[in-house]
Amino acid sequence: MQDPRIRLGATILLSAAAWISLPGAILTLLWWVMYAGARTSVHTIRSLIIILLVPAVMALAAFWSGADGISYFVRITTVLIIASWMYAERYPGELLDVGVWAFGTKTGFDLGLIGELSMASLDTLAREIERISVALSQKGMRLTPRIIPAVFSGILIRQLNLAHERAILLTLRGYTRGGMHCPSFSPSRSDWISGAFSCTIFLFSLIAGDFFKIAGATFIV
Amino acid sequence: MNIPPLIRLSGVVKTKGAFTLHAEGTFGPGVHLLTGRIGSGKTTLGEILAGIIQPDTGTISWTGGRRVMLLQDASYHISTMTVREEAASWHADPDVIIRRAGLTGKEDADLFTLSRGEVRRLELAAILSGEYELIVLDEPFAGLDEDARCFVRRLIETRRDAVVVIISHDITSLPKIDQLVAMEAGTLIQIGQVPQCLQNWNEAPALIRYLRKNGVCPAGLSREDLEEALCRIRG
Repeated sequence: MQDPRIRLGATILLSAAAWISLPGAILTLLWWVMYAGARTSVHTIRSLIIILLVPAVMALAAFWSGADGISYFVRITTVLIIASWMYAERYPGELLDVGVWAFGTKTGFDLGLIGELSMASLDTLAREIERISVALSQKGMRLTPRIIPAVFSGILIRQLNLAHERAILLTLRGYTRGGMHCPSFSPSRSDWISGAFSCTIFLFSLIAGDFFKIAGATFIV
Repeated sequence: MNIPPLIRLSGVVKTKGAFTLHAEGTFGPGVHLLTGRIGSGKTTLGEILAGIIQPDTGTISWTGGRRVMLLQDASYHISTMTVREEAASWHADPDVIIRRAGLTGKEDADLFTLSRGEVRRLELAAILSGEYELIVLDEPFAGLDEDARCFVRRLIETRRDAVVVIISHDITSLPKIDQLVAMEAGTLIQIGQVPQCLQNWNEAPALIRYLRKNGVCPAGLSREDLEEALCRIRG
């Protein structure tokens, strides 16, 4: 999907659809396979297991307490899949583009800038964790709970230093608030079609999830 | 009897996006300088040698042991909170490591209160005390002041039994170098033994070109050799 506006909109709608109802989650998964080519930023089984560990534990807890743990697991997993698809599709500067397009060159620019800096930090974080794992394995160690405080203190300090350096750079370049940026978008036909389907799935999920059920009556919209 | 380490790269190719690395050559015991312009593939070759990334094609054969250590950012190795704990985490005598790092008296100091140079010294002392056949040091002098650079140089000098590869584009802080290799536009060039090869170094840095232009060839690439060569020009 080329247009970040449609991608962001589709991500919000599909995440909501997946969260609201199980049929919405299943349709979202189908959408992901058909329109997103099942693209994801999770490339290893190890990463997948780490990501799904918390939802799986929560689902088991829900199951044991009598709730529908399977539905919870499928819905949360679908939300995570859509998030990983969005992360895989993004390109540098797109949040700034969307921010300025949606909210203008003051608030929009600031929001976009915050988003871009956060995304860049996520990239740095992922790279750092990979490097640390290699460094520790060469040292004959693994990332165990015992060494997590030291390892994550280092990561936190490096991230704070990086943020400090970036703040200095922005100040030196005269940044106070807002900025000039002229975003341009080139949505393709398939962007519009997949965007429209994400709206449909969201509406279907609202109905299927009894979102409009008020006092025992279901309102079909 | 220990067999001296020898690493042979045959037809190694690694593609990363638009960049392709080609490497063919041999790394034996001693200190190797792997130099080249920024983006020429030095770090990628270092990671291939260390086994962190695998080449797309080609083979890397080893003779005599295969214990490898790659130092990029020294703080990536930190797994404890104090100097003594960190030295002990390297499965060697912590007192020896602390002494070699010049951190005697700071045994109980919090690692995160040390300067970047002190952390680098500690990790380097631990690495160079370890029994590794290959030690790859990626920009070991970056961000250090002259005193710390001098200290690191002396530490590196202690390990000539292993294959030590220093990745650096800065030639002003080096220890005694035995072999010179360079990455030129993604291709590994084995320039030769130092100092004999310095006259024929095509992509030599400005300082070496200046020395050659003035009819002086340094006796090596160490800081002391370069200073001595500069003194010869000035008389």
